[in-house]
Amino acid sequence: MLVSLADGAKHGYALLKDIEDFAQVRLSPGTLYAAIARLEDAGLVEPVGSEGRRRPYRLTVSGRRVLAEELEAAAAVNRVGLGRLLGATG
Amino acid sequence: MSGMSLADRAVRLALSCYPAWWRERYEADQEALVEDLKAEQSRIGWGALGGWRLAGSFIVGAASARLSASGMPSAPELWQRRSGAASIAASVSAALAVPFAALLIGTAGEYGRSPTGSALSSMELSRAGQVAYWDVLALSLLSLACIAQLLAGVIRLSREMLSLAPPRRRALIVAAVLAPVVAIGAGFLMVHVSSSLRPIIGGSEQVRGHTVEVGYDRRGHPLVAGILYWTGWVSVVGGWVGGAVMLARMSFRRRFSLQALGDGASRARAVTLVQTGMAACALVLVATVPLQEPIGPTGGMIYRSDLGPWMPVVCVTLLVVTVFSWVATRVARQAITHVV
Repeated sequence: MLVSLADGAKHGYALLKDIEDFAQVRLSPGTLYAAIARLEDAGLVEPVGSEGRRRPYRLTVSGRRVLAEELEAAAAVNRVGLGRLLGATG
Repeated sequence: MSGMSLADRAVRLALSCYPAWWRERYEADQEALVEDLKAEQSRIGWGALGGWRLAGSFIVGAASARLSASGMPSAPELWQRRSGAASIAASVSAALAVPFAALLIGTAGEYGRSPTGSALSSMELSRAGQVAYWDVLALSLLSLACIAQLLAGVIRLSREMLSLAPPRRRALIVAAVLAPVVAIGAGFLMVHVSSSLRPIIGGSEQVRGHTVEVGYDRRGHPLVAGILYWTGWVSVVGGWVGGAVMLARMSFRRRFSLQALGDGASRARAVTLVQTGMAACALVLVATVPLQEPIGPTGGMIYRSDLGPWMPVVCVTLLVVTVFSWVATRVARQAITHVV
């Protein structure tokens, strides 16, 4: 969800669609809002105004930092994994 | 509303299951999401399973929101109310387990052939029957422990309610606490009296496909004994359940002291531990039924229940109530910790 919000604010439906597109995972609406509530609680996302009844969410400064750290950690693991895999086959 | 399908109504109902503080924050957005999903109905098959799946998802989400309170505002009023409601839910569900256990214990007995016409000792039960015999004994002891804990809790709660209530409502509180006690006492008395009205009869009957000679047979009693027996049990169960519900209604939304809430939570925890044992006993009891050996020509006994095919239903209900009680206790402790 944090990755989905990295390029700008999105409301519930846009989040579902985006996550389905890039992660091939269809979140159920119940799970989606539970996750939004948890992330809001943790101060990682926040609502921005509203578009009619829709309420977009965006990353907070803290959310952006946490996402960057998580992605860097994942990238490091990927580099090690790929390096070992290529070393073993090469 | 008239144009709404059953699935639409289910989704609306599911959304209304979320707590009020949640609906304030997310309901409009969730409704907009439902409309968006309906708009792409061909993709998710709204007309068939999509709507129901969505309703199910919201039901699970609502249960999760109520249990975890994730995102709940930190207003003390809200948390105080949550801790009170959860403590009561934990206590009531713990209390509900007792009549079901009592029903299992009170309607259980030994079914067998006695050469002398008298009841055989438990040692003459088949192996599974012996397990059932000791299991019911353990269930009885655990139920007594549960009742003692609950009574202590009710006394504590009643004292707190009496101190908080205006004088004109105090008599009502005392009556509400005493009425179930009277109903339960009268019920047990009726069950006891019915046994003395029971004639000792000889005869045989079919038990799970085997002809069993019996020294006495509850089902062969005169009408009065039968009516007293079952009315007694209805009174016991009804008194207990009614008392628990009444106490919950009276204490809901009342602002109990933190000390009373903390006491209630630790008591609920002790009760759930006891209940775990009770639920295990109920499961063992269900398991022994198909394992019991048939009665042989020279004797042998089967542990039986007057509940007949309803016995597993009562056991499963006891298990469900216990699980609910565990969950409510967890929620209550979390809420009280937050309040404190």
